Amino acid sequence: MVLVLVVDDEPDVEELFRQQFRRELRSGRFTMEFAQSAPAALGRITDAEARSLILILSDINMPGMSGLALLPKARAARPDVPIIMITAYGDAETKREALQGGAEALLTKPIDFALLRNEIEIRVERAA
Amino acid sequence: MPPLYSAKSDGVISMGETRLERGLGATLLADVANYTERYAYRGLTQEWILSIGLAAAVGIFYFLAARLSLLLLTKPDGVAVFWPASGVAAGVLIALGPRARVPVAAGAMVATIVANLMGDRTLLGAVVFALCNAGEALLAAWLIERYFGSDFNLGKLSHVLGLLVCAIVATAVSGIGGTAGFLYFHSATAPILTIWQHWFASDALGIITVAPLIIEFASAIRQPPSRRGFIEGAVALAALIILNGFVIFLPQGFWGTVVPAALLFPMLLWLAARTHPVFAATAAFITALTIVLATTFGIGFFGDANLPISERILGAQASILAVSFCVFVLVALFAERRVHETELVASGTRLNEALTELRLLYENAPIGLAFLSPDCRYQQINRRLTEICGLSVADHIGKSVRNTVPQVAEQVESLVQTILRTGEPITGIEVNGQRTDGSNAERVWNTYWHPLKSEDGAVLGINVAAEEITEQKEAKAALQLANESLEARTLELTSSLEELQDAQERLVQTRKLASLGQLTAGIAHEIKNPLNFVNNFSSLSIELAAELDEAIKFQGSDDDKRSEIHSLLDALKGNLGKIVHHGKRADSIVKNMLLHSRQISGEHRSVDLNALVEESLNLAYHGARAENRGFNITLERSFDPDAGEVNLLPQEITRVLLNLISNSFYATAQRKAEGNGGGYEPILTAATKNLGDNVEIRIRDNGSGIPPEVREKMFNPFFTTKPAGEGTGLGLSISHDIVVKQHAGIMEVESRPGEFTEFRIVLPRAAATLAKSRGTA
Repeated sequence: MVLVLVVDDEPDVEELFRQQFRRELRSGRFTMEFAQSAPAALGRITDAEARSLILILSDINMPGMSGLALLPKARAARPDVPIIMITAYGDAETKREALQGGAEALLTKPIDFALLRNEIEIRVERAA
Repeated sequence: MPPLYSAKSDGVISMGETRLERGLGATLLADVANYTERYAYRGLTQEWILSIGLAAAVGIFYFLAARLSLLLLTKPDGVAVFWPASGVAAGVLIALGPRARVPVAAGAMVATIVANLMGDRTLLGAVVFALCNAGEALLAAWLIERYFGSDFNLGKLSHVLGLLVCAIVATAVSGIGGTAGFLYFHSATAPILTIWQHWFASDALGIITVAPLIIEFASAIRQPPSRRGFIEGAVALAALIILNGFVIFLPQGFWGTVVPAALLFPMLLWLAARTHPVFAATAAFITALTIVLATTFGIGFFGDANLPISERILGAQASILAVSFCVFVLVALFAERRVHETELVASGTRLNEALTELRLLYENAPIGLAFLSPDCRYQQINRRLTEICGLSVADHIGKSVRNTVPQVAEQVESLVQTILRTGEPITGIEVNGQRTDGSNAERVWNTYWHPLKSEDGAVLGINVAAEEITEQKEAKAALQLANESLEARTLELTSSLEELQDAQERLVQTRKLASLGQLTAGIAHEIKNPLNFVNNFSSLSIELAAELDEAIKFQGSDDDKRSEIHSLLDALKGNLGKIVHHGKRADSIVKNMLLHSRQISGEHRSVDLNALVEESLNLAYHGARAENRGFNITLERSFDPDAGEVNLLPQEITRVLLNLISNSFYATAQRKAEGNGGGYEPILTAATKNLGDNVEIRIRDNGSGIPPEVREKMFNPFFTTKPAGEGTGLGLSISHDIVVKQHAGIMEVESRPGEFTEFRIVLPRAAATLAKSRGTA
């Protein structure tokens, strides 16, 4: 079963995503794992279990290592896994930095879950 | 040793410092004492030689004259008819002055004694006569000098008359001594009075005829007549001598009396009028001598044997006196006339010189001068004044002002008329210089107009004086210009200062807004995250509640309970709906707050301005129609085809335009609502204009307008006039930032409440570059 890793320092994000994607998770179309910091996320990425990882969704503004700092490291560890950045700051500079760092897209908060669902579905289909 | 005779600078010989006030005797004694004292210790000197020479000369001449007279004795009493010797002594004394007294007296005395002794006279008688003769000469000379000074000549009538009087007085006195001498030492038979009379008459005639000759002879030596005058005098004298010869030899008779007078007097008049007095004096002397000779030798008229000798003598003496006196009076009158003429000529010359000086002064005066007749014609004008019109002085004289300077004629005529009427001067009138071609010489003159009045007060003309004040005028104008420039500079400085103050205020405001923006951004981000959760979870909850409702439908539970659960779930969905609604509202506010403080989004690029405005118009219109189906408005476009492309941030400017247009829509809707739509037709006009380096966008509506109190605050963040929930109060604030800060443009508003509102935006064509270089906050 394919895995989507969500990185956000907000604990409620996990509950929000689980509720939003409850039907997909219930049907076993993909599983979601949550990391509350960039270092925790890097740990998961390098895990053997994370072999089925098809997408990383990462917040940018996090205490400690930011999403943008995580980006090159994650890309180095798993060049095959696309990364979509999520941020409250949808300004041009952030967008440019994210795309230059190897992110596939930048979504702004509040998240358009319909769009996100579509993005995930595309990755799932591709992995299958 | 002082010279005996000293020639004064005026040519008059004076002798020492003899005081004329002293008596004759005292003077003579003093002279003798002076001689004795002066020469007693010094021996023979040049002065002595001169004195002796003079005495000898006088003596010789005196002797010759005396001998001549003694030869011509009248027989009855032995008294000479004519005694020219007395004239020799007196004349030399008068001519040479008091210092000659001793030598002359000595010479005269010696000569008299010798001459008498050579005749039939006794020694004592000769001594008495010598004393009388010397005394006579001394007295006559002393009287002359006493009353007429040392400068005695025949040039003055008073001197001629004086000589006559002095001769009479001196000879009358000496005649007494002489008569006594004749009576005591010569046993005369004639009556005493006759003797005295003969002495007196012959001596007086001698002085009157001979003294002037000597005096003038001395004068002629000192100041010789001109060559031409000498020749003329000599010719006239020769003619006179010849005429005298005729007189002597003319036959007797009536015509023999008339002809001498008729022939002699023109000659004497000629000599008196035109020649040096010495010639006239010589003529008188020759005539006198002729008469004496004629009388003595019985020739001609004076030798008429039919008449008694006494009659003839008297006639001869009267004739001599008449001729001599007449000649000398004529000489004096002509001399006086010549002096007066000379004086007249001299004063005429002085007058001419003064006039010339005055004319030069007038002509070359550094101020302009003119004299105008009452009918405004130039009588006088100097060069300086002609510079006003450029015509010459000669071209002015006699011409009217209207003919010479027509440009100022009216002004001048009016001034002259005023002066003629009032008689008062007018000063300080400015006149501009004029050229003959009518152009202005750009010279200014300050003029003064003074009337010249006759004694009865009538104005004869106007004296005009004009001083050029061009330089003062120019200096004044330059000063004024400098002042104006200074004022302009001051204004510029003031305006710059005001601009600076405005800029400072704007900067302070910008800083405030920037810090407010940063604060807002921080707060917004902090609020946004939880708000996202609120929105997300409430949306999810609505979905979940719906799913729950579905799930319950299939549960076989109590109907009442089920309907209660349904109503509770409905209420819950309603509440969640409200949470979503208000959450979104809060989210919108936060979004706008973030926009306010955000960084520039999008890229600068060249955009067709008209297309951009058109796009914004359409977006706004359709957006408004989507929200409210009943909304309608007339859109008018006034796009400048030359507006062209502008380098800007298209998203940002579109945002501004959307903001302004939606505000306009709101204002027209508001006015329509207020006026209940009676005939009101909402219109929005969008216009563009090419301003060269700038472009202009105008958005004008005929909506409700903006009250003044609102205008003051409308660019402030969070200020809104819309009801709660309809506006955030950030639209205009953000728009202003975009235009002014990001594009270095201008945003202005003009409005009349109830009529219209017009926003004017000016953007530089190179807005982006400028904004970047200023480092937009």
